[in-house]
Amino acid sequence: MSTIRPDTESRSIACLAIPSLAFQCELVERPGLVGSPVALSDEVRSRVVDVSGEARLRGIRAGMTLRDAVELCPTLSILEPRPALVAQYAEALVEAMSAVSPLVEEAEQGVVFADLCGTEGLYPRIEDIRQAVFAGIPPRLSPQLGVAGHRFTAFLAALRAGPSKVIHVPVDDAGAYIAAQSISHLPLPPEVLDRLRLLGINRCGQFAALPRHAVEAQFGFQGGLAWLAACGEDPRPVHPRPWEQERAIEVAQAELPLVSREAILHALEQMLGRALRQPRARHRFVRFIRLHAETERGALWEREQVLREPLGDRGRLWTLLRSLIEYAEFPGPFTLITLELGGLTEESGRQRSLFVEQTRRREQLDEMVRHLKVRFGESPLARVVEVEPWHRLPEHRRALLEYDP
Amino acid sequence: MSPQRPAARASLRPIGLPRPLGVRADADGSPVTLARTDARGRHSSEAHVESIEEVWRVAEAWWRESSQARTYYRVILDGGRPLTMFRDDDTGAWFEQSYSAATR
Repeated sequence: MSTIRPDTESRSIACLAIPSLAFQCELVERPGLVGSPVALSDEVRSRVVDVSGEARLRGIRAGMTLRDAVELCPTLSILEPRPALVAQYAEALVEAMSAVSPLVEEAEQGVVFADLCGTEGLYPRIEDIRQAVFAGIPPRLSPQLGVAGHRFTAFLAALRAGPSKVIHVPVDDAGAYIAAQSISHLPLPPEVLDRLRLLGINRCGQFAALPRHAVEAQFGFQGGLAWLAACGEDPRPVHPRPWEQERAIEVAQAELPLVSREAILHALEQMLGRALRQPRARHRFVRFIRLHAETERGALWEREQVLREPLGDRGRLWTLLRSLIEYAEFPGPFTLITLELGGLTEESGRQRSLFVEQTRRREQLDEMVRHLKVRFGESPLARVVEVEPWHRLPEHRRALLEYDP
Repeated sequence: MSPQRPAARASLRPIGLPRPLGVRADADGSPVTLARTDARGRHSSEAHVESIEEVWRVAEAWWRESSQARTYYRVILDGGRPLTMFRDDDTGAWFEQSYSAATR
């Protein structure tokens, strides 16, 4: 039984979508390319991933080899992907949606959902939501917004809305609205969609007309969910991203790009210490570690490690973090590293050292540095670490690592 | 970027960064006189190059967009004081930097 009034039920989920986000980001960064034939290549520069309208008019399609594309259109501009740039814009989209609701989910890069329940007083009209969301997005990104009572309906509405437009689909109209849409966006694996097409089922309305029990018998639980979505009753809620309070994040910018593994390890060791000293991380245990790094050419490197049991001990966390780096292959020298300690537990006690004498000097030093930090704003002590002692340029060989207890 | 996300901080501060020098070179590009600048960028002292002891070239990371090519000079200044300096081959700017053999 629902206690939500019909008018609020019709606007409980918003979806912000930017089709071809990677491509749109490049056009925002290079406005001179707007109106010309442009193609985005894959990372190995062998195939076309996305094309502009002008390139499509010249017969260029995603999946073509770059050689074929250039033969078709010699004036074609080919852009290399920059995942770090796309990640920054994707984060901006999440922030833009956070303007209207604290419950925001990034389903994929360029598709963000927000739970709008309870925001009717703040944003009485759909147009108010549109203005609040689009205020934080560059218009050239061509954002599209869909508002509906259910997730799948909002998603389809966002895909169908034009650039900088919003489509609102009331709950009563959802079934009819979805019926005419292609099945390609249903939450089903590609092979299932291919099978449906072979059976002559191309529209959501045809899929919804099948008996639910038959769909579930053929395609299982996923099929049942897709059937409900096709009927305009998608039961999947918005899964909001974790609260900031549950994460401790440290970001480090490298003055000189970090080329060697040793340099990255030195930087990370310091970042781990800083992250664990953040007030929100004190006396709490960490459930997962996420590393995110950007190279000077905009490539992205990410690793995530979910811990078997929550850890609060710096030494054990460092052992784990080091293992993520020691055997990894990097796409290039790092210019920016982000360390996230996530899933922080509730506060808990910490076992003190039994060997007080051995730790006293260290604690005294730490205390002294804390006082100096209060006075000068940053730790005036640093230690010299060897970064790349074999490097031919002297400034790359050694560095100062802030002593920051 | 999240508003609650901390600002990026410098992680490692490099030691031995080159310091700018004002240099007058001869037609071959070898340094003849040099002028040091203070922290505010003002010329503070001048010296004459008496002899050039050694010249070597370092081209580093040539495969990257930010490649670095330098020509180092180990010189003796008037008064007998040694100095290591280099010319950035991309920009033509001169710098002072102590240089010792890399260790492995």
